[in-house]
Amino acid sequence: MKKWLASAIITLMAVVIVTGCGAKTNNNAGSEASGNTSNSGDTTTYKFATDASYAPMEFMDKDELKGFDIEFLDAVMKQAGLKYEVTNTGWDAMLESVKQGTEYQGGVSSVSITDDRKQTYDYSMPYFESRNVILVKEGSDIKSATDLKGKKVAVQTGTTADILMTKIMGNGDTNLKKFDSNAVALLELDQGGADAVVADVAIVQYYIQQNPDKKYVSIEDNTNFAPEYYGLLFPKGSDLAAKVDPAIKAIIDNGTYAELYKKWFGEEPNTDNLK
Amino acid sequence: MDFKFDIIWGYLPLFWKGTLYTILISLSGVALGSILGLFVGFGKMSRRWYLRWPMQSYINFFRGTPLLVQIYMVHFGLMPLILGKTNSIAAAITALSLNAAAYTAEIYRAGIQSIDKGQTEAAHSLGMTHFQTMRFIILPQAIRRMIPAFGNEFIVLVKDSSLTALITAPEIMYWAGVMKGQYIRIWEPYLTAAFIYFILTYSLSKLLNWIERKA
Amino acid sequence: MTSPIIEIKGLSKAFGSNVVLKKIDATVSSQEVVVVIGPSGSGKSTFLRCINLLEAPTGGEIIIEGQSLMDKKTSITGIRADVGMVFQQFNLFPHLTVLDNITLAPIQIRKLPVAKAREKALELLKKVGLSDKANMYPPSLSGGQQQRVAIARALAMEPKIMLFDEPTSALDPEMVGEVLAVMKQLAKEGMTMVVVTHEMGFAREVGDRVIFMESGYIVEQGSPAQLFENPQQERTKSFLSKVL
Repeated sequence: MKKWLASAIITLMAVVIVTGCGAKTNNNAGSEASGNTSNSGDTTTYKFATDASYAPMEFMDKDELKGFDIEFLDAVMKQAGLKYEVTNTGWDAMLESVKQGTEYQGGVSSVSITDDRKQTYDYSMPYFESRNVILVKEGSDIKSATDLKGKKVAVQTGTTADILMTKIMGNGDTNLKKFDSNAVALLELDQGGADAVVADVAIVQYYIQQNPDKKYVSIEDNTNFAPEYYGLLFPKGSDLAAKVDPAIKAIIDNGTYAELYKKWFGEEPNTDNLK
Repeated sequence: MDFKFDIIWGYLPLFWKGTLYTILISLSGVALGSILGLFVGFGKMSRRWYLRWPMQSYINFFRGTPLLVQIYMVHFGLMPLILGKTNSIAAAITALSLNAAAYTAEIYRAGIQSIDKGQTEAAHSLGMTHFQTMRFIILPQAIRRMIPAFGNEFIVLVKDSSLTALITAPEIMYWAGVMKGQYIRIWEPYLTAAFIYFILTYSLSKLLNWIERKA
Repeated sequence: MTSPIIEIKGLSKAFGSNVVLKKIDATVSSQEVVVVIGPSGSGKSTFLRCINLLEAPTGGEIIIEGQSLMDKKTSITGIRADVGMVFQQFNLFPHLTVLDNITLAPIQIRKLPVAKAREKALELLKKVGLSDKANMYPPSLSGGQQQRVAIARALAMEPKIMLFDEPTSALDPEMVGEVLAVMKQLAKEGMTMVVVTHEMGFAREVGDRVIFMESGYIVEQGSPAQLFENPQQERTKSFLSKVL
């Protein structure tokens, strides 16, 4: 009953976050701890947009922005000695306003770096390695990503899981069901409309842990699921990437990044692929 | 403004497929909804409280709650109950039919009540039963008056069917969402979808005008 | 005069607290033409509409050919099929041709073959002088023509009784004559008729009996000669002095 309630609350939260949240500004301007990178002459306040509906990466806790991405950006901007603020604009508004680059100069929202997207945006260097896993019922005959061909698979639209599964199953296959949020994709698995959910390991582990009675297991497939990387999103031709990249590198090197990662995911990050 | 026609081009076959599903879903929705709405509407007009009361509640519920919630309830609640698992297309058609029934019920009621009472009296005075009066006298006249309202409901339904993308019914808006996910661009998928919806609803309203003139 | 075809005993009708008919007793004999007159609001139309249950009485009894309309076993549709009615506003079916207006009920209720029903309808149209209008739609006819079609429609059911509810009140004056002529013809053929009307000339000439109603009561009745030339009641006199 408690688990049922928990999943109901997650669903409700997701709906509330997606539909209900107004734009809320997290103002971290005036970082006095000016870092050691050479942007001391820049007094611009850079505005970042986010879609705070992807816990634990970015989400709203009541009216406050929280999550790994939010704290990561804070560390980076302090390191770079740049003023900034973050606003929860929602996904669509973030994409469009960052593309235009006038009101918002950047986006931070677990955005995967892909070649298709590079046609439209510039990215920072990769700052996060995302691993996807498969969630299935115990005893399922699905053992790897290739077993998912011809099966019904639920994912969240636009996530790395979506991108990977689209590559495996082909664009236009309606057996790959793309939902608006992971909460709904997981419900589809519960109700028998999907044989598997592919999602970020953090989300899958959380769901298994919350619903032990449902007898779900996660399956890793490191050969088919090549890691995907998140980057900060910038308008084409932005000079911000050049200012931010050295700071990202610096916090990875000085251990700040590992500290944050441990705080949010409870384990040491593997940063070999981020450099 | 940069607008990448080439990425739309790549999605055209999927948008075409999506268009067929949009037509299937909204056409089935309006057809089944009209049939169901007939029962709901007559139930609501009944003198018997045990028919009137449930039908009035039905109309209140489906007109008074968001269609999106109804779609989720049908997809994750009703369909697993009936089929044992979810089915996005069946759920899309069912949810739209149930919703349309509430609106068409009111169209029937308004249409029937707009017919002059003298027509019923004349039919009764000739010895027609209630059913014969409806079938030969009231409905043929009322339906003609209902056509514009039905057309309006149909057009609304075509656009409302876009909400079924959220349960992955593979219609136009679903593929727009998929395209958005791939390129994370807004205008190419949404304007393409809007364009197709406009073509659909515009042709539909032309068709309905023609039917109205013929009737 | 033969035995009564309609017997009305203690008929009452109220709309809410508004009592329109107050315990009315009346009989109509076979082949009799009864004309009901009275000021508007006297209850005469309600009285007529009770006879084929277009209004449900709140009390009393109506017996047609020995069958009580209040009896649950009596087929109301069966009674209505045998009692024709002509309305003030014609109430033709605007979506059907004149011919279909007339044949619909005989085909659906009397189960007459279509060919037979058409043949008879054309005969009736000839009788009311509208043979050439068979395939037209009612809205394209004049008021007088529509009312004559309405009479033909009622006659097509071969009713035993015809009720007329102010059949000429909605007509332009020049069309009243053509409708009254048809009604006169019917009376001459021996149709039992109950006519609510303001046409005193018709009442005097065609009526076998005239009933004067006021405030939900039958105030006075008698032959046209008695009632028009020698009314007994003050209220009858007062009404007649205004309309004659």
